[in-house]
Amino acid sequence: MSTVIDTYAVVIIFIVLLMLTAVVIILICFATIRRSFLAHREKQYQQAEEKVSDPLYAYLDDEIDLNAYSDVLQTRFEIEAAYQLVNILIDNVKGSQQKKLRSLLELPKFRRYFFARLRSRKIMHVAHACMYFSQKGLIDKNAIRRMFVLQDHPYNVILYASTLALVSTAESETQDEALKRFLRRRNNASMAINDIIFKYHSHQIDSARCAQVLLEAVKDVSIPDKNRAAVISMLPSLGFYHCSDDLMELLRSEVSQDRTGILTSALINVLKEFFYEGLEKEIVRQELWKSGFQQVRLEVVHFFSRLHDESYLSTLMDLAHDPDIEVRIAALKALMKIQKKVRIPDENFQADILPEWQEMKRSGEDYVDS
Amino acid sequence: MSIVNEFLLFINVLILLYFIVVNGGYLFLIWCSYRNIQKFRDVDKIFKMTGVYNTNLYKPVSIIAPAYNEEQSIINSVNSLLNIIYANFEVIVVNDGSSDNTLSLLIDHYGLKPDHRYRPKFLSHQPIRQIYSSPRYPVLIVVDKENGRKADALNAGLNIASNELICAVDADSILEPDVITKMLRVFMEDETTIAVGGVVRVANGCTFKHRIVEKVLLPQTFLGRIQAVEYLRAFLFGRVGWDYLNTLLIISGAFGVFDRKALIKAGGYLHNTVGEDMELVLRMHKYHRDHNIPYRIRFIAEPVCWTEVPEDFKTLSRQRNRWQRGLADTLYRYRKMFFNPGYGRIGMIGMPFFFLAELLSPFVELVGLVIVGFSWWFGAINISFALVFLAVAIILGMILSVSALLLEEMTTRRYDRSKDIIILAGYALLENLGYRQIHAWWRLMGLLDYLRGNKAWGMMVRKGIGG
Repeated sequence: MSTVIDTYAVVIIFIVLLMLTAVVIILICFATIRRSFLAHREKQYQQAEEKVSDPLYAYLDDEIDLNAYSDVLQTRFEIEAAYQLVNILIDNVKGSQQKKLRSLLELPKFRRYFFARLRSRKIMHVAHACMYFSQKGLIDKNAIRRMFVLQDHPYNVILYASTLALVSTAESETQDEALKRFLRRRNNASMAINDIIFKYHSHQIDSARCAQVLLEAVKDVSIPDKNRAAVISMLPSLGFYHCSDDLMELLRSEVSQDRTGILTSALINVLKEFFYEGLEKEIVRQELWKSGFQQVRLEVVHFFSRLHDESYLSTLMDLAHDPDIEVRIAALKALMKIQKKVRIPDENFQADILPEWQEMKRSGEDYVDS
Repeated sequence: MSIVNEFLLFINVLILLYFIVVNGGYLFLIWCSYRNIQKFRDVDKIFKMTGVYNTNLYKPVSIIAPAYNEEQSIINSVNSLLNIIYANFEVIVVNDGSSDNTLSLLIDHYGLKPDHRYRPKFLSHQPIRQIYSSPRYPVLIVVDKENGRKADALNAGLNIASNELICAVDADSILEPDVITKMLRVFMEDETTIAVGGVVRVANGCTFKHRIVEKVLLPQTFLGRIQAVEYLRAFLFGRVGWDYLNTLLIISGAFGVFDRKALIKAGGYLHNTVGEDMELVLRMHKYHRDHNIPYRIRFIAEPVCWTEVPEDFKTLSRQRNRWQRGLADTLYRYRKMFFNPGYGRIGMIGMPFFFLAELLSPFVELVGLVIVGFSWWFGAINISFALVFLAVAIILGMILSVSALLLEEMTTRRYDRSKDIIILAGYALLENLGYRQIHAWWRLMGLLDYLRGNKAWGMMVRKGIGG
């Protein structure tokens, strides 16, 4: 049992202990100094808030003019605090006061400050600036150019914020271009697309034009199928029933080129929502229940379920044996509705499907979700 | 030097190498976590800004909370779920055959009425006795079923859920009101996301007001505080780091959001395992890789679910024993994925590291300590080697724990008082001197129990939180 410690061991132990000490010291610094720094910044912000709020109310009460208020904004804290205050107030006031607040946002100090932030490397700053420029009615050519560049930003959140700002501008060409560029991006999630379209629509005065732009996007093959499908799915919630003929045309012509089934299923779903008359005929013509895509078969079953038509009994019986459980259950539910008109013997179901069928029958048709 | 001594030296070198590799791996994970946190810290802040991602078009979510003998906390927990700030959600509480008053409390408190609606059976589970809905709380559904354990209850909830996304949450946990919105950020940014995990924190010691955490304070007991450090380490640098490497193997059973269809297609939760959370994530990886479907399983550092941790040795040992059995069971089930290039980083990095660092660690740690002491006593190794061993095995462990606290300070700073963080740092150091070895013993027993075929869940003693 030797008790002599060699140099290498001392060095290793020293390094490890040094690392431990360093981490502990950094932690203590973070927990004390950094917290104090953050608290100090918070205090500065609060002071700025106090400084800019009274003059803001004075401005709204016509006690001071725009230039006088601009003179109040000296530091970045004051500009940020004022912007936050205006942002909160603008949604809570109406008429002339709202107009006054909007003109306040046009102050060169705000514009310069946020335009500089559009070029920042910090995504927080960029997003913040995008939000400033997305204030309704704000048009700034340089900012718009910059935000088009930001639509290629690697962070989705910046793509999203810049698109949001661009679709909120007052120029319809800018809005349309921004929307199309956004839709061409391959990695957009459908939720983000829905939201952008919703906001794009809310900024449109001419609803027919808006529908036209969306239809063009739906037909644009340079836009990924899933994005086109997301646009299609938004049409009913925007109330664009008059688009159904164009959608039907698309269903007739494009199904063979649909490589994922996502476009076809979206089209069936939306045309079903629109109660489009020719849909049934088209589904039968193309025998879409035989589609290789699960979501297409599922949409077809949902459509048949709505029809309550016993002439589709055998098709639904086939679909009740679909390899996909979701399609199977939807088909069984559709059959439950038809059962009122035609008796369906239990022998028609295989042993693995029979328990579901029996359970549905026990629950009664009224208690089966459509 | 005798052959025995040479052999002992060889074993010692192996054990030392083990600690170097494992702790080195963890240090690398810390770096990954730091990078990940830096990358997404601002994104999370932007997400909170008014205007960006502010929408009513989020996908609807079904929150599923399995409950077994939760009479102490069930009302507070369900209230916290009903308190969620989200445009479109439903809460499904699955009473998994509780023998206490869980169900009657729910019926009385929410005025539940039987609901005879048919629900399809996508996944198998124990028979449902009754489904209840509440006229007063239309978003609440309570399912009363035969006992079948947590996975079974989750499957029942999955069948009943009607929304595209599901959030699995323990009924004894409390979610922060904006937690789902924060989680949705990931689904909103990447269409291929099928599952997202979030941070689970220790609720013991915190004060609650209207089922919302009012003050984040330290637990009162030694075990509570040690676990506060453990949870920060597991979530902030473990899972955040693995997320950075796109190799996440586990989403806590206490809290996770999943794409319902993806979950059902993968086969739902497995009944005959005690590690259903990790098993599910691995199965989802396997299913999507086998079927060549693009997917992402993510973890984000911020969303918070508060959970009560056991503060007595007996309950804690049972919990850790179960976790170790679950880990062993899952890794064994998916042994074919090990070093299989077809499973990418999951098979090549994640699983081997989990095997080495999580499954084997209790054995190596305990046996290692004994062997090193024994070898030094018999002169097979010198004091230098023994000290280097302790430095690598124990002091590096301390560095890892303190680093987790550092990540906490860099991100959410949920502890209001800096004093609390410094106290926790003390516990992070203490943890490695005694508790870690006891913990390793519990996990070793878990391994042995797994080999003996023990699949018991183990009784959890809870006091209830959020009151």
